[in-house]
Amino acid sequence: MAVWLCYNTTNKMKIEIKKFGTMLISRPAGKEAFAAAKAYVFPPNFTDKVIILDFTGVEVLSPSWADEFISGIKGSYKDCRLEFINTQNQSVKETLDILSALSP
Amino acid sequence: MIVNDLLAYETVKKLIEWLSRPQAGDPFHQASQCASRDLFQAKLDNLFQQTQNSLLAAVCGEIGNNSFDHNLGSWRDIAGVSFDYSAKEKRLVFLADRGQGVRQTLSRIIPNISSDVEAIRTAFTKVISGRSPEQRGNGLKFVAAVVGKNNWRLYFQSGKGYAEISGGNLNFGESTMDINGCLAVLQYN
Repeated sequence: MAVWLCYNTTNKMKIEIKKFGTMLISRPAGKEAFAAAKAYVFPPNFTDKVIILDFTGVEVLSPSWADEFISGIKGSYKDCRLEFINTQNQSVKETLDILSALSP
Repeated sequence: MIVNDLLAYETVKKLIEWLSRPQAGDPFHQASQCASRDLFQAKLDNLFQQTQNSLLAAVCGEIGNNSFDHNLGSWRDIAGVSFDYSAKEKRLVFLADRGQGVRQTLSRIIPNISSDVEAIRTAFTKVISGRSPEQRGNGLKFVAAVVGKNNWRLYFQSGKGYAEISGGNLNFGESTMDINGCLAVLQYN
């Protein structure tokens, strides 16, 4: 499953967020998405330094979903740096902006 | 108050009356009542398909899902959120729940919160990060930012406290009507 959901180049892993759905709204859905990613996308011995979240094809993203998913990654892969690409969708942009602004 | 006209809509008057009842009796409108997240998500998807407005869906999603996040297992009587919209003409969205309300919800984290208005002000302006690294409590800040930036208008009431956004200005005040749960009326462009 990890093969189709992401690719892994040297020290970088890209995750296509649209594979979790295109309308990403609620906390429970975000929590479930991270649980699935942790179980099936990230290898057990994951050591990459950069995780790229690709938002191509996402129609609606809310802070609740994104917070659960991103917080899950930050909590489990503390040494990784997160990058976001293809964030042109307005809800994606505003959600990432507010999470960034409110980040402790 | 700067959004008096939103409160003048017949649907809003009826929602306030429904929310102010000690016992709801029946759902506000059977077709609008989303008793579960799945129903809410389906209705939200319809709104997005009609409007193709991702920000609108995200804002409504935050407000509606707040109802479920904070009230599962503790609804006053009617479970879920009443969600209705007029997408073509007036561009209005109505969300209402008979849950515990903002003050009761926040009082678990901030026990000395002094009033409904203070609770609403806190919900719209302060980050309450009781579960770091989660940023719980960011939803209404997101709502306020999007509504303000896009020159939409919002009326949000819980208990007697209300927040209103119009022309990019966010104000808080106290209503004469005391409602159970939460009411949101959104007018988008």
